[in-house]
Amino acid sequence: MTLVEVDYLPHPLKHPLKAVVLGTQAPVGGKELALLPILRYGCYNDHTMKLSREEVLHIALLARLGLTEAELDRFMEQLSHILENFEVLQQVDTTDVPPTAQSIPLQNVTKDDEVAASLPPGQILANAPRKEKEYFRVKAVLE
Amino acid sequence: MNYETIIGLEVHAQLLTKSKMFCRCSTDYASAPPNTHVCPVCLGMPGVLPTINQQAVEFTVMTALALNCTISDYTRFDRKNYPYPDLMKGYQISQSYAPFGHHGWLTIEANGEKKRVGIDNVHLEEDVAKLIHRTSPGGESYSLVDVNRAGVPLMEIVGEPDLRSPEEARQYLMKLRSILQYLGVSTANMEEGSFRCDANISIRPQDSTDLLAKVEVKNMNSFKAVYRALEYEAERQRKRAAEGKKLAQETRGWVEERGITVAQRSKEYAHDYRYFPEPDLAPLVLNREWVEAIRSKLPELPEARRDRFVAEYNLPLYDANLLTSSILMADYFEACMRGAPQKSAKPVANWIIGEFSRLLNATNTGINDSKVGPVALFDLVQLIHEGSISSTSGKSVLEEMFHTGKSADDIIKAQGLSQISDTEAIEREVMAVIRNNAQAVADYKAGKKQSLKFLVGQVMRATRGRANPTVVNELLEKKLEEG
Amino acid sequence: MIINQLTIHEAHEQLKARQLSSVELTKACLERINQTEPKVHALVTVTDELALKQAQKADQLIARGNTHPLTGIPVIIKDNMCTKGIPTTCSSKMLQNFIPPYDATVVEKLNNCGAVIMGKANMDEFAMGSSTEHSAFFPTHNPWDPSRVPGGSSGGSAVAVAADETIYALGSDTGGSIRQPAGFCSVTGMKPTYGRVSRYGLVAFASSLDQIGPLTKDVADCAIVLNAIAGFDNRDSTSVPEPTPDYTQYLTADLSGLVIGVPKEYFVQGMQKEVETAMQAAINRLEELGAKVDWEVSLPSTPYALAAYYIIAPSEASANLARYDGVKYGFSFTDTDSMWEALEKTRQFGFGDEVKRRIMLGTHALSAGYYDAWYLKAQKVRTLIRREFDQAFEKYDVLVTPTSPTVPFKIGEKLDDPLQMYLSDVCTLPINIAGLPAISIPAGFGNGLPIGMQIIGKPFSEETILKVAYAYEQATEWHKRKPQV
Repeated sequence: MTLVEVDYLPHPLKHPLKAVVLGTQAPVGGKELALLPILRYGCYNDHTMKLSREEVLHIALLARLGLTEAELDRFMEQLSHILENFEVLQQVDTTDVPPTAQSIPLQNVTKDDEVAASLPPGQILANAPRKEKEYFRVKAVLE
Repeated sequence: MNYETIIGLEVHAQLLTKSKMFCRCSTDYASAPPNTHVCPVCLGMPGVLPTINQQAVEFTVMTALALNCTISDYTRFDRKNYPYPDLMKGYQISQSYAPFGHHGWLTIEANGEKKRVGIDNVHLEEDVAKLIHRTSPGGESYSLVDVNRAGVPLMEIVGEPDLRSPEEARQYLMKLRSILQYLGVSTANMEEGSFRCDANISIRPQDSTDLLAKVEVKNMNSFKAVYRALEYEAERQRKRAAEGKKLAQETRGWVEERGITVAQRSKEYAHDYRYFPEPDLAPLVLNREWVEAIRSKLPELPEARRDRFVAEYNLPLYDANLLTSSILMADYFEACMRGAPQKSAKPVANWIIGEFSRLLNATNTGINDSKVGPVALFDLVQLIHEGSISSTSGKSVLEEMFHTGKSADDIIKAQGLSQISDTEAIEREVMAVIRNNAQAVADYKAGKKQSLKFLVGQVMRATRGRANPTVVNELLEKKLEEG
Repeated sequence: MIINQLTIHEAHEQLKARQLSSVELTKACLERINQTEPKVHALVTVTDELALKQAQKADQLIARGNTHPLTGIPVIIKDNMCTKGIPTTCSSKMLQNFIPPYDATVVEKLNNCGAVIMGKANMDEFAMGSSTEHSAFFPTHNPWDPSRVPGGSSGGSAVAVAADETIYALGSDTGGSIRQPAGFCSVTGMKPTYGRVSRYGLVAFASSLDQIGPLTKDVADCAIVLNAIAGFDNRDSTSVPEPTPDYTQYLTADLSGLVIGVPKEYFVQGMQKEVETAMQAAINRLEELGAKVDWEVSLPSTPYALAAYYIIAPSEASANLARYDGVKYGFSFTDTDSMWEALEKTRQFGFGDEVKRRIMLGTHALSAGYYDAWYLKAQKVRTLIRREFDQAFEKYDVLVTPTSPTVPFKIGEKLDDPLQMYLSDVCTLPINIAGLPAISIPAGFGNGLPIGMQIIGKPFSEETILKVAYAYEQATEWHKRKPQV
């Protein structure tokens, strides 16, 4: 068995990569750092997938996640770092490659239109943080 | 400047399946106490998975076929992501990339001409929970959630912006409702919420292709509301354009009590549905055999039935159209006609379209809920036709039938309404009327033929409507000629 | 004999022979839990009363001649599988008080076998993590070295088995969450083919990748548990309606005629030397057992798997976790007048950082303007990865790789660097992307720390994987080593 050296340049790349090594092979700061393929193919594009503050705020709004200022800064940095490393994906030639959403060879899985018992009412509301009589209760939905 | 109105309608119809779209809870929640038709799946509990209700798929494909759509051979469900307290999973299982049917159409009658209105697509999704808004005695406003409705199969029919007036929109909706009812896939009842309509409306300067801002109108809960809201909105947009004001692309809500639309605040909505393939469900491949099997279950649709009514019962197109606009009315008519001769068709149609419909509408009664069954109505029409009672009496007899459920025979006997066809008896009254109305008789003889009508009326009055009008006419004419 | 150290098949023989009762076995495990939990923190909930009740019932069943191999055998369930009436927290503040009104299909199946459920295992919150440090409650410690992580996200399940708190456990695996902790704790852990085991009742992380599987003390036990939990479920439309073979019938020690491939992309620079050495030795051993080994297999898209995985899984997660809104169940922030603020605060305080990161990553990857570049692209790369595996399996019966490129790392070491943490799954996640079955079995130690070997098969070839694993296991002693807790 031989170890694969950095020079195996992956097929199906559209363009040869700039061989920028993000990680290092030696321990950094006392930590053992596993240098793995993703690191070696990271960061080569001239444009950047860095997220702006506004983008992070927009994502948080879509996901309905409240963020403190500190969280905002931290996530902006971390997510940018992650996405920059994921830019490697853009280099893969996927011309005429269909997307795969599921790995099962199934189709037309349906059920008959038959009624079965619902949950006993007590169990439906058993976990409800707020309820009123037989309803779940929420803050005013109307603005 | 002249503006053209451009309208496209999006209709949601609940499907008449027994169980919900992705679980086996009953869909029959209308009179159920809140939160009783709920299971972990439709409550969106952690760990649950959906399963596809095959009947809902077939109902949707059936509708797509009836609307002349192309059926996608590969379809799938997608997740439509938006947070809202009525949406249990935080996403709605819907279809975006591959709806069951696309590129269809239906025809409406506009200004006496047939017009084809495009259907962009027909797809299937799940209904959401019901929110009930409340205010506490302390003034806190809050909402209550009833999950019974969540997960009921909901079919969406997305129309092309081919409609050019609120009237066309109304025609389109009525036609669509009628088709869904004929297919038996939905009760399509707007007031009960099983048939809902949102509209996109914009105006554009005549001879231009530039649409002004598109406005989405919501909260229309009846056919009348759709018509009024669109009329209001078209006018509002015209006025603003005429004043040189800019039109905003926005969502507006129809306020029934005030008869206006108002802009809905959109600040809190971040619209990005982030559709992606539903990983919990396998794709559906609508192969030819399956589609043909569904096609073979298609019932006769309104237009075909109308044409058959014209051919089979020799009805005027107008009558056939009215009768077949509702499957229930058309069924009722055919139940009346079961075993009856073709010549009864026109009088039966007249009574259904006329007096019977008036009574139904006035009392807001469904045709199947009325106390007058098709056999009873046919008997009444037959009695009138045979001359046993006059058609004037017929109206009051029908009303009595309608309210009491008694048969025409019983009512006629009880009220002594049966028609006098005995010539001798009528002749006595005719002679009396001629004696007592010298002026009218003179007018008639001088050539004023309409005087006859007056004299007939006098005879009918004398007999309290019971004389057979045909006999009265004949006798009067004869006596006047003789005299 | 230390009875809580027994395997399923050993315990079953003794139960059947009435040399041991389920109550005794259960009590031994509960005692062990009391003794080791303060050190390893593997469990979130211990259901001792229920377990003893179930054990008594199991003893009655056995007395009446019930001979199912799982009857009366204690099990620990990862806390993301719904257990009716027992809290199911996903190790999240969000579900700290959630008590499901229903059982997951696998739990139902185990109950039908007369299983003894002793508790729920700690995990990375919502199964998002590779170290069990992302539990909202406490980190779990590796019994081989308490200063190190046990791997994750099924770290609690793996530790409960490794520390003999239980006879076996169930875990879930989305990108390595059974195999990587199995490797780190020196136990056997299998991720079955996607669709083999029903996911109904498994709290979803990434629906197209999640799969439930066994964590056991040896390969024979793995086959027994897989027998019990595999199979079609009409509540899971992605479960495959095919009969499952009796996996215990395939456990033979002879590998002659078998062709094994070793994909070179899994042996890259940066992999720890001791892992490489152990793998070299393990594969040599497989060759000695009669298998033909090809050391030069190439799966060229492997370097893109990590990025594809960390786009696809968070995308699905962003939708799966949208239901936690504080309305129907779970944590709810109510100290506000606004519904929207309540929703945002509920999620802000209910979710931990890693969950938030992944929700945001997925939300971004699906959002308008980024969908094609991220989500769709990742799905296309997924196609390439699956194709390469399919091609490889035309030539090879199984592929063999390390389970993880490293031995267990220190607690806290990768907490501040999410990407480094993600890299811990680099050998396991391509298998989830392709929906394949794979097992991790003990294959040596480096400086006293466990090293796992991953055996990958083609879809629905669990029996082949088990056969290879069994042959290796029978020829080695790694699985018999016990940590000192």
